[in-house]
Amino acid sequence: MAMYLLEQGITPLVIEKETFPRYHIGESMTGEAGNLLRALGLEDLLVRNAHPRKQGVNVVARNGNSWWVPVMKRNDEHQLEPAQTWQVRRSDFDRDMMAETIRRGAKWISGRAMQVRRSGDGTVTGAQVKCDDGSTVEVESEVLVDASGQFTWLAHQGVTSAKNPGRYDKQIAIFSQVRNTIRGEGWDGKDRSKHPDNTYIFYADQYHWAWFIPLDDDVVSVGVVSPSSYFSSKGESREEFLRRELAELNPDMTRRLKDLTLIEEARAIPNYSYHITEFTGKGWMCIGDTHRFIDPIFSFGLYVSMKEAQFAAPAIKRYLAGEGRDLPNPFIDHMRRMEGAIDHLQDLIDGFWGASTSFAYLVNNPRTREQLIDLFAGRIYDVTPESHPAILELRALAEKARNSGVLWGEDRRGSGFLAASA
Amino acid sequence: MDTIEQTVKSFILDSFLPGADPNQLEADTPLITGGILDSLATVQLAVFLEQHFKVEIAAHETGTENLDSLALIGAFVRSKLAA
Ligand SMILES: Cc1cc2nc3c(=O)[nH]c(=O)nc-3n(C[C@H](O)[C@H](O)[C@H](O)COP(=O)(O)OP(=O)(O)OC[C@H]3O[C@@H](n4cnc5c(N)ncnc54)[C@H](O)[C@@H]3O)c2cc1C
Repeated sequence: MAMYLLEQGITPLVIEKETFPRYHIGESMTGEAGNLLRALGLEDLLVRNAHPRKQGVNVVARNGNSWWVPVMKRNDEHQLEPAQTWQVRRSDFDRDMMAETIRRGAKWISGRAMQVRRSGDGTVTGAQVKCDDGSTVEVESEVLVDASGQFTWLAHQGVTSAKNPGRYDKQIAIFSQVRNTIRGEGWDGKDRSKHPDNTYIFYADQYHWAWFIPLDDDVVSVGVVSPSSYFSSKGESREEFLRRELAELNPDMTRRLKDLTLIEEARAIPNYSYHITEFTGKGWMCIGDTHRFIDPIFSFGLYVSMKEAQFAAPAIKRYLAGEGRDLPNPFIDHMRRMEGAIDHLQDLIDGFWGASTSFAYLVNNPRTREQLIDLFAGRIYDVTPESHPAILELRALAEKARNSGVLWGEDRRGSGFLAASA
Repeated sequence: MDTIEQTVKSFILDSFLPGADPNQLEADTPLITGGILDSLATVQLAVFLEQHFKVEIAAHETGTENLDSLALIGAFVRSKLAA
């Protein structure tokens, strides 16, 4: 966010409670996330730090059936061409992003945002911050951007609308890192699905899957996601659960994990799925995980946070210049657009879990494959039923799954796309 | 069997049941629920139907209600061709 504001000529003040480097989950990027980083001039940094170059993702069912989604970009003629993105160890990546943000001119307070400040009409005017040195400062803001991730700070402050559970909130993710794995094999410089830096998604039953994300030449991030009730029913510690699941969940994964010694603590995140529908207002907005997180399966988190920041920065610039100051919600157009885009991700995830065979048909059918590759890359903000008819097909598939009761949870999608396609 | 069913039957026998006795595959033999077609084979079958019969099959139509037997497939393709 800060880098995009700096690009707009706005000097932001960043408030961050953590000291970097620190552990964080969210390591595999979509194709468009890589493009955002390139456009920010960060490619050299990523290459210098030797982050693995992801060519795509292999999705492998328990019976060994698999499908492959390559990272592809749209060239100037709007044709798809091969591209690559990255997988990052977040302790390194986030440290570097913070350092680069400060190098580019952002101001920074090391501390925790505690209490929001509001004027009589509800406009957000700043925050009280508890600094790491023990002092407390009152920060005044013209626009306060909540980028606190799953902490959803403004929701806890009662500024946003209610934080409702998302469809996948009865899930738990348990994860760590391992060494000595069998990564993509047989890479001959041509078949990108075999590249050793690729992400794998292994799935077993509905809502029960695992990730395999190379973090460097040796270390691979591994995680298992399952219904929380399944985890509880096992009566195991996180580490026991993770190690047993990694050995059992999917034969191809078992084969790839020769050594189940965890080199990181086994961590867990339960109930990560939620949705806040009103996430902008006078003097404030939420970006990224602070307003909606569906499910990590297709690695959209980092990208959505960065892309929303890219869209937010010019909207904030216009607001600072006086636009929309008298409106009850000056950022309402931005909010609707972000919601409409994430609705496509909801469809992708619901379609996959609700009807995996029909979903695989959409991904593999030559008639729709390129459009699905666009969605997986993150090209979700400007797609229309005219440019991408497959989004209608995907929506129909997801709706059928949502209506048939094969998915759990309620449907709280935004209305951007529905309005646009009406 | 109608020609649509015959064409689909040949495709299934050639692609997924090489060497099988063609008489075992009857009009009402359950294909998906009977385990003859796994998910990958179902995807291939649906793509084949689209391309061979030049009809458009939406993803939500690729379930057992339309593809679980040669008879269902025949009726489904005919309804598409008539539309
Ligand atoms: C199990 C799991 C796996 C995932 N895997 C992937 C993946 O492979 N790829 C992917 O792209 N995404 C993944 N994600 C999502 C990803 O983690 C996030 O979407 C991504 O980190 C972007 O989030 P963000 O920028 O909104 O917030 P974050 O990255 O969480 O950053 C929020 C920052 O705010 C700071 N903060 C919080 N509260 C305060 C406060 N009060 N005061 C000051 N600072 C504060 C925090 O310290 C933190 O540094 C995964 C998520 C989960 C749950």
